[in-house]
Amino acid sequence: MISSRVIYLVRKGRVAESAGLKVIRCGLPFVRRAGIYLKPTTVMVQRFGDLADKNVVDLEPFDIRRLLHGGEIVIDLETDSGYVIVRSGRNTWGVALYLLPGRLLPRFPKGMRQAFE
Amino acid sequence: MYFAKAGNQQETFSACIHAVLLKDSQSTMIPSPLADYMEFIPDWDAYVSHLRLSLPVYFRINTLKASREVVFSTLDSEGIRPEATAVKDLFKLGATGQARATVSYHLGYIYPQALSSALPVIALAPRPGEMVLDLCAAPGGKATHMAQVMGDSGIIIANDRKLGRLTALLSNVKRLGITNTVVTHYRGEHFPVTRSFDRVLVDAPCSGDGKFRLGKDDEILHLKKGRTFLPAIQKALIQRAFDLLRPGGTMVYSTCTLNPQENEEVVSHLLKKRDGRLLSWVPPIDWEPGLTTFKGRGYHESCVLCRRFYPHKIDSVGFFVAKIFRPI
Repeated sequence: MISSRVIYLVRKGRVAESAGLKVIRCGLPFVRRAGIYLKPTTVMVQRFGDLADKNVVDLEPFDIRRLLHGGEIVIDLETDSGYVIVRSGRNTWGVALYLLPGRLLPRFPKGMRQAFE
Repeated sequence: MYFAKAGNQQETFSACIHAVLLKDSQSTMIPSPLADYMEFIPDWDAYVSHLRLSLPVYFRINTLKASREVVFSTLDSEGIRPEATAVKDLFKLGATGQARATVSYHLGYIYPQALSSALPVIALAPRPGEMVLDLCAAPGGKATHMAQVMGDSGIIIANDRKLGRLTALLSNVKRLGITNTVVTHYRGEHFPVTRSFDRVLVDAPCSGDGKFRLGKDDEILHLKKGRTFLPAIQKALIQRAFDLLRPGGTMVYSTCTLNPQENEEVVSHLLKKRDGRLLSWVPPIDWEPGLTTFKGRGYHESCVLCRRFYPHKIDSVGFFVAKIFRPI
């Protein structure tokens, strides 16, 4: 399912049975267009991010705290500029924007940032 | 006698007008209609004493996003030691627990909810792959619980009539990472009968007196304003829910009120209008059978198969659950 900027992930099969209803939303926001990139949504990577084996960065808890407070991290990743999945231990937190050469910028939702301020 | 501090006076004044004050052995003021419930609530003094306590915070583990092991290790890292309950995946956080301030909440690992709120889903027992309707779904506790029980398969139509409440529903479905849910916006009693469902849940809007608490200074902490037409709305909802069931399908009608006029009377109305059958089920926590009489009014004899949950027996919100079958 594609809206103007967001692509939703829906279950194959019975979703067609909702046709004709006054639908507000269907499925899980998957990726959205953000400038020149496709940005994976936080909720999608929190649900499926543990399956990813590329464009993933594992951080220490203090680095997560830094990102949550809006700070950026200097880090060298073996990938091009673009969105990466942020993990710490066994938790997948969300996404961050990696910009060459070596900057990792936070892209956590506002609600999550405010909760940890 | 003033029930509340400034800022909430108009609402509580309205409550006072309707109040019938009953003085029990502990000089506790119990407003109407709760005072009438003395007729059927077992161990009344324990009930009144329990009304003075804060209800504990419970939460459900979202097994769609992480294993139990990961959730517990994350909670442990925050110094949280939840207590197990008799309900699967439901845990007690403790009286002062703030579930929404935890990392686990923001990662979508937990959903704060009352212990009794899990009961309608346990009674309905949706299966993977089924087509399920939650007619009054916001804020989404039961819809997301069903998605979890169904392994995020099949389809759940999560409906609510209030746009404001849909925001909370959308947010919770998203936060818990659910893909099988379609959110719709209809008045429940007008939901189009253009398809039929394997299971339907009606967690009906109600007066909410199962949540009622007395403050330490006899303040009313929770008392909804009188909603004169609630039983009429509830009767329309239960009838529409039944009409949306496929023959052989199962529905659950639930409320968080102890008021028989919003519970057994509504169920009896359905059984009079439609060929539904009440089903027996065994809840995992302490329960009492439904009523067949209240204040001289008689209800359908099978209402004993309904289940009532009293706050002082379960240490959570008072609840009512009826499981109904549509014969083939």
